[in-house]
Amino acid sequence: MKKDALYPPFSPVLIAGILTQPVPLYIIDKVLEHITSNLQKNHPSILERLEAIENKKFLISPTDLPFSIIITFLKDEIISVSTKDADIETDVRIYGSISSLVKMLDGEVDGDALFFSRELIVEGDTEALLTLRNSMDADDINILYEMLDSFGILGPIIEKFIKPSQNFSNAISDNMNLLKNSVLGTVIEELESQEAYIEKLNEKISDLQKEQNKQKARITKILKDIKNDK
Amino acid sequence: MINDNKISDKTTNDNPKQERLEIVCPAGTPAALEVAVNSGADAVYTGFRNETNARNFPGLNFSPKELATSVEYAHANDAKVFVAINTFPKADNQELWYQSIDDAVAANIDAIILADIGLLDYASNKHPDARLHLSVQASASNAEAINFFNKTFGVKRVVLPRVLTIPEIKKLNSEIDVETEIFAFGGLCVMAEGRCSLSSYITGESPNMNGVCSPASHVRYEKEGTKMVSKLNDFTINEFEKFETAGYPTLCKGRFSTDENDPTYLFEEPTSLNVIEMIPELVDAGVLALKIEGRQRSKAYVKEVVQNFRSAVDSFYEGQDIINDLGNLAEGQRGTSGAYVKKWQ
Repeated sequence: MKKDALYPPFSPVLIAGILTQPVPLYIIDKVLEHITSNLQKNHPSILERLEAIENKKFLISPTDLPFSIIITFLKDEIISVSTKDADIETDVRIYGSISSLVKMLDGEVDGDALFFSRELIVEGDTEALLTLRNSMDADDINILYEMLDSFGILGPIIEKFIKPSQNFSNAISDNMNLLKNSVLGTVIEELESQEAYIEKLNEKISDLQKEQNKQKARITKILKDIKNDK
Repeated sequence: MINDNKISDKTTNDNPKQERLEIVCPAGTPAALEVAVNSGADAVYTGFRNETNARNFPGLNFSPKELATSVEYAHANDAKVFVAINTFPKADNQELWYQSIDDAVAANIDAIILADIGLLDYASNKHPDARLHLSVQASASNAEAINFFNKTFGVKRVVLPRVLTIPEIKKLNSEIDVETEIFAFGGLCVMAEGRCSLSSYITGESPNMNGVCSPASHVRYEKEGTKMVSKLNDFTINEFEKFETAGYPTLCKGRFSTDENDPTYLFEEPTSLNVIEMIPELVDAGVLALKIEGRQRSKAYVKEVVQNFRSAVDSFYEGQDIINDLGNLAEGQRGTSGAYVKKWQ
């Protein structure tokens, strides 16, 4: 599947992602390197659980960011790099909004529930995917904390900037929903009306099919009776 | 050396919650166990990281050391820990199952959940003080069978198969001297419990022999246009349009074509069992414990389901309304009362 076939959520992350397009990947890679190194340091038991997926390559593709992340689990090391090529060949591919992906990793939302609701799309080696999901869930991980921890003494200072910006992000998110409703409101109404109409048609088709089956049974019985009479 | 005296007697002692309906929660990992305990579980059930339990999924379950640490945590917070060793050993290869029983006892667990008669015999002889529960996998659904397990092996509790109505459970409870635990929330199988080999026809592995139904190693999801296709061992078993909620890739929840129908759910639709609104009737029927399915699910699932059931059970005893707010966690995002309320002929 191609990443551009997926529709990203209309969110502050999407706008931030567009604005950060010019950021070179090596800067993102540096942050990723710190996060994975902290994960290994702070959660050593995860590596033990991940042994079964040694050398497997995962593509994690946030639909609202202009880059994807490739993670490889080696014997004693986790390697993660960013890529703009979302179609690169990997064992497993995971697509979803960055908010859903981080919440799942932090244990705030259930991965299966995201899958049932189709907010999370997965492809490839399902066994490797489950091993990763279960292993990460086996420990208490907070990605923001791992990221801040990687900045050493600068961590608390960056946290001071991030906390207000999270509130800012929530405020923008509310305003963006308002904007989205204003722009798409009439389209959404029209779609809802069409959806209701389709549902009614489906009900009618189902009733007709039932009636057809009844008539079929009736005709079969009549034919049987005629045959018996003969 | 195993010390049988270490077996906790919590299940028969002074826990005030014991008089009330017990909530038995799943934990696939030590972190999930802590979440379950913190969210209000009376008991948590787990399994070892091998094929001795029916959720032998990659990356899941406990090592003996992790179990011992988790049991300490649960006991310090007035919760019990049960260990499921509920698959069936293969001929001449029982050692792993025996060792797991010994490891569970050594970890000071509160009960072992068993299904196989040979293992029940081993556990009751080697660890006479161990509290034994009969797994749903044993498929004991009548008084004669349950009383047999009680008299022969000293089984104290039976997890009832998901085939009985509430009136049938009430009648059964009047004929047995064993506690009854029923499934309250989560995945629902159409199988005769402990007898399903459907998965093995297509993958070679089944829950009772290998601890896995539709093993992940045989599952593939593919996006075809707007549809998501789920395949089991390269057989397409379901296709979901963009507007449809998805379910697990098990054969029983696949869509099949017949001469008269387009692909449709012939065995079972993706849906989850949910008895939260039936708690008064279940208490009246003499049920002692509600079991929540889902050792393969995440901490987030455990937290939300356990908190909801804790609140519902407490509300019941306080005479308040029970709130059902679990739709989004259900498979296919839909709930069912299963066989408890029989609506068919």
